[in-house]
Amino acid sequence: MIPTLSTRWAVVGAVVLGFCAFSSGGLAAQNMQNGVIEGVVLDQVGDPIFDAFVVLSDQESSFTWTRRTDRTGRFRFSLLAPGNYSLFAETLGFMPKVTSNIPVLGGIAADVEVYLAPTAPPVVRVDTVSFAGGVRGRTRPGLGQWFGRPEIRGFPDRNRQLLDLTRLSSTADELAGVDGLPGSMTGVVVDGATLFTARHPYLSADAFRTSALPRSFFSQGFLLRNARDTEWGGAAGGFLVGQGRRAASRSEVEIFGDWTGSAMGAWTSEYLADNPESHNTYRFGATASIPITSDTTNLVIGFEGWNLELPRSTPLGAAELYQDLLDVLDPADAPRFEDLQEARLDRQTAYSGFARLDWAIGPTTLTSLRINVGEITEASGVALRGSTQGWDRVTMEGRDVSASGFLVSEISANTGLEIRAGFGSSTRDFSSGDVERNEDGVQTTTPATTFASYGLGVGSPPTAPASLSNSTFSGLVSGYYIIGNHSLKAGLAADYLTHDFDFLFGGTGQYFFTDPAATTNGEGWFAQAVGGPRGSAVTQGHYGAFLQDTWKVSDGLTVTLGTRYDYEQTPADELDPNLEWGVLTGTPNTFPQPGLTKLSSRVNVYWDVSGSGRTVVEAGAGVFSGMMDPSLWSEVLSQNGGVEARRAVGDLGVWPSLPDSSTAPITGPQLSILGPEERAPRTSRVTLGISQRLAAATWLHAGGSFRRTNFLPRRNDLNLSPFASGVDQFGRPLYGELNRVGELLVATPGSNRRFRDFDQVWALNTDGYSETRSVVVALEQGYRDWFDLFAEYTYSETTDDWFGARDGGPGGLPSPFPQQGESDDWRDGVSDFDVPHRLTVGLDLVVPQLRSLRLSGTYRMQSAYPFTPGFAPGVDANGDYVTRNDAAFVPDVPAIFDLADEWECIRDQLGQTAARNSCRAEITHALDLRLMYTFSRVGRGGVDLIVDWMNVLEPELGLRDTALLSVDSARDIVVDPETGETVLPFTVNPRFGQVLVGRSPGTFFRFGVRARF
Amino acid sequence: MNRPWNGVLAVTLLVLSAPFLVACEEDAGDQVLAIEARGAVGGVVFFDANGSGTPDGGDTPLAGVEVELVAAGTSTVVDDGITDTEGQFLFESVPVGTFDLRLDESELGDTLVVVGLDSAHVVIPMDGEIQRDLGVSYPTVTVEEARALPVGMPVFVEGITLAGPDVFNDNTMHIRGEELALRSIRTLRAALFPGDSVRLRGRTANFAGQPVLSDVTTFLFSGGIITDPRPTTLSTEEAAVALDGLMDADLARIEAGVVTDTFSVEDDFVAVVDDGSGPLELVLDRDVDFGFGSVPPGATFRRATGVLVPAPEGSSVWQLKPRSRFDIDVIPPGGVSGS
Repeated sequence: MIPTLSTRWAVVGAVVLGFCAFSSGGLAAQNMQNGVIEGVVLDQVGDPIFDAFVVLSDQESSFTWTRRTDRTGRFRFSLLAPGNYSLFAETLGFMPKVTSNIPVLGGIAADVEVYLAPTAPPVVRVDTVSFAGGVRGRTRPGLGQWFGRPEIRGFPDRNRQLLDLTRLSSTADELAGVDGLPGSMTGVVVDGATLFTARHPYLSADAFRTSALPRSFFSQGFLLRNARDTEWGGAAGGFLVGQGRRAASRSEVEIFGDWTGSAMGAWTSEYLADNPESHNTYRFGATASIPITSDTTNLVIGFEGWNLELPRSTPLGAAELYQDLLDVLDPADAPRFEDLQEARLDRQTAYSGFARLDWAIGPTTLTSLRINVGEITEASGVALRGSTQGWDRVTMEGRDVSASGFLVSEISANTGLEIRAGFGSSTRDFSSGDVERNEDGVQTTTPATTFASYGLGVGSPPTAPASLSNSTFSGLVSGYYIIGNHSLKAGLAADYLTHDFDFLFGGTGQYFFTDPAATTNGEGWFAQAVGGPRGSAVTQGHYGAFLQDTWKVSDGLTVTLGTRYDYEQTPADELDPNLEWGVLTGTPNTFPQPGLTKLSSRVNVYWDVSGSGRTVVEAGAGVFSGMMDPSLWSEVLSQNGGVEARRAVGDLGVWPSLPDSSTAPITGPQLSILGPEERAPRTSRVTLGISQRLAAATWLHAGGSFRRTNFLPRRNDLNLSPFASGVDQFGRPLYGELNRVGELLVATPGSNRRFRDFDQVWALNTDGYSETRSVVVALEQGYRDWFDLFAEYTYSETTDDWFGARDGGPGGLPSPFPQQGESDDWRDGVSDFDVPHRLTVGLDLVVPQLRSLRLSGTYRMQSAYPFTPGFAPGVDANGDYVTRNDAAFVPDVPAIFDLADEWECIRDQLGQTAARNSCRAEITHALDLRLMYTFSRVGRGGVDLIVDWMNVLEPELGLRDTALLSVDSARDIVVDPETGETVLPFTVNPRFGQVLVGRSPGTFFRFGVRARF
Repeated sequence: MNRPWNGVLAVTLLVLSAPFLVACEEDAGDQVLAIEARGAVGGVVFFDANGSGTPDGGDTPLAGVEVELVAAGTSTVVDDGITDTEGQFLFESVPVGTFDLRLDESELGDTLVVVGLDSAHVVIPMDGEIQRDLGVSYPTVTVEEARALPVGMPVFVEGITLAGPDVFNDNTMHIRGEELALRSIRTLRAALFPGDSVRLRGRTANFAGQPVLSDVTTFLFSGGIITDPRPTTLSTEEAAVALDGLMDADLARIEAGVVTDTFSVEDDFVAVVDDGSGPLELVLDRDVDFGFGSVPPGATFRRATGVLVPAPEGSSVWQLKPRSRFDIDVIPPGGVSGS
């Protein structure tokens, strides 16, 4: 019988799963918090040396450990903190040897071979070499990047947060998004405990900005793409891992501080040349290393604080907008908008403290406790940089507490145990100073108001106010057992999370006008979400079990196979669906699942081809399951009938006050319903990488990877009429009765609804996907301690159908062509996170003749993020109530020729509807330099003077005008009597592509001092 | 131990397993929530003889009429069908939502329109069978619209009764709309009283130079025009020209009109009265019991209320016809008042 295709797949699956079952005990030999250095001491002909004396030293902390080799010449040091180590080996009759710069990475063993040369006594010198075994470098193609001391402390930094390290990776974006996924999908792990910071549902691309994780706390960081160990779970993106520093062997205090500001006159940015705003940026901190009991109990405590002030240019056209507002405003209201004409200052103020206690209970048992606390305040635009409208005057206040502890024990030579526990608490409060209520509770704030002809907004943004918090309890128990060539590992993990959302998008009202004059002549529209509850409490439990076998097949060849099972407990039981809607439509006729089961299998092959570490091939494939976005649950739990919409078109009359209920009546409840068989995001990755040592300290890495993530949440409006009311002159289906009001287009409230007693009814379906194909090439070169260079380039292509994922809120934005079939889905195209080219370069240089002087720098080049040519805000080109999802048709008319000359994407799409994310601006370059001079040394201490020259190459960043077409207010909507098409009056926007709100950071110098004693 | 082929084997295993891992991805189509529910809508198409909008006594079903189901707010015909011999239609398995029902009016007579359909849309819920009857009848117009229509149009006119068809026993009737009044002729008798909301089915006509409704059937209904049935006080001169025709058929009142002449026309008593502004013919219909048969010259109508009707000769002259003894208050020459 010839097996069918499905049968063959089943056989392959059975083989793979069967293999996993066979090796189900397979575990890595180490816990993820610590590393191992093991190896052998040999004579010059390769025979093992028995009873050789081996001393291992932590190059950072000066801690030392000693061993003697066994009869096979082998030695082993375990429970090592991540960092760089030196190994000293000696025995009678041989020249002692020091092998330096042996890297220890969490969860990974470094294998060291030490060859001793026979020497007749007396021995007067020590042979010193740099470690050359294994892949020592920063890059593991396909797997990720390691950030060590140079990256954390040596290179010029943009800010003090752990997040900033991702700038040094060519596979991640500046918000820790990995492999074309948003930063919110990246798991953040600190000393083995996952950190869940509270996130704004509409600013989810910001992964975890927090002051609680300052650089001072860390000794090492990883950015893992294809984590091979099945212990890694709960995130479908990558993992950003931080390892806290341990105390030095002696008391030590380090302080630092730096400053920059306008008084230095160092600001050369074109944007800021005329900016009179004074600003001061200063950062400070101190860390104390306290050995309570030498070599046994050690404490590190520290704090950091900073106040970052960054002047921003005034938005394009803001001064003119303010003048136009004065013409129509009541003079008493004018002060509300004065800052439109002023340069503004983004400010971030933060304080943090941390402590870590390490206690070596015995030679084979180590325990550690740490706590990180932080408070951060951001004001004036920084907090809402994910928004497309350039809103300002919003402050964000956040507080984070993260504490964890672990106990690791090597019970025997081949058995070990690890126990971890963690707790976290996080709050984020977004508020607008403009949101106020009078004594009667009536909102007196200025609602979000967008002026289409300017592309700018004023008032309180629709994303504020918001109050978000969460708390987390986590725990893990794992153990390993080494049998023969197999290292088996098993464990259980649990996370229990509670989230609290107090947020209602558009709750303070949204006005759209052509310009200020339109506020008085009836050419605008209004929408507001009213009622409640404003969000919901969400409880999630995530429980997992993992099994793994690390099989040393032969010398140099290691295969790791593992599988992980997770169960995610959902708050489905708390759902209270809207019965009226259910009776009308039969939805929801499938209730969400109370729990989600996930199976994640991984395989990894590490092949040291030559056995000497010169050529290493590493390949891996794995499945990574994330958790459902809790903001999705909050939305479906809270928007089941109590939240209603009200809308108005035309004469609104009372701006900047809110229209009354007769002008803007209720148009029905807003509902959100989770799609059937909801799933948490799941990523499959395949990676292949080769590392080739070209010289003693020169490595060339190359690799490629493929990632596909499924079950991404997408949004569509169930209550949009299933039948178009017509088509425009470009063939775009229209819904409802479309009105032109000034330079805006909007549907008559209710006319585009399937059921007119309801407003928008969102289905949140977990049916989206994202794919990335990438190639990484990296070069690392070092020369003694004088020269250290790394360069990493990634070319990637990221596609998805996750439209609006970058700033559209949970589920993104609905399709502008909702009746297209799956095979012709306009949303399926270039991802919002697609950045084809990324290059990062780091250089650390010491002048040999002047050892106290060190020059370092980082350079980052990357493609700009893509965008879709569309319409001005407030133009709902297809009448579906959503203004940010419409793609423009690129008309082949003379008025567009200038834009076509400037923008290739316009030129290539003449006569077509613009493809999703078909345009992008020029590649950006950013270069930062640091000059450090150590002018005094006291023992191990010293004082460093640091001068940073930031943004030597300054990228042009900012919110661009993505409106290709504007509405011609001189013409009305007409129906062509011959074709029946609705002719919408469009004109070409000559400002297309220009930066509306500049975000360029400006070029500046920063002076700092660092002292150790 | 050092057997590189093991590495080849492992990589091969990896390559084999990698597509398996990827291929394990389920089709995400099951994750899509869509409205699959369907419902039904049916009803009867009928000739709405009384303009009530609902099938009731005297209405007749219409067979062979094409009915279309149209998505609300669009011109998309979702389904269509032909009524059976009972005038019934039914659309089954219709996607739930909001729709309009539409008749192919080209199959109706020129004068007919669909009247029995609620102006509201039809909301079809899941598994529901919505009943919507479609009446076909004449258009319902206001008094003002009826007066402006060309002659011969069958219509319904709604208004408030000023004088019922039994008042003058000549099959005429007077109704008032928002602003104007209308007289019907050849009106089927019915017990209607001033202030009754009434719907007249008839055909526009012209009589004595003024628009009227002819061949009229009356239907009482409630909730009609809320208007004041009280008369408008005019001088005799203004009443004689019905305020330049604007008050044709309307209810008017004169005061202090002195009888200057009297005569009879077809047994009706006509008194020419003048309040000093000009003469007006006041007609005491023989079929109305005024309590007296004539009024001598010199008598004074201290007050006289009635409907204004064009004079028979067709000139632009109107007569005032009181409807009952309560409409007049007359003072004999040198005597006391009585009505």
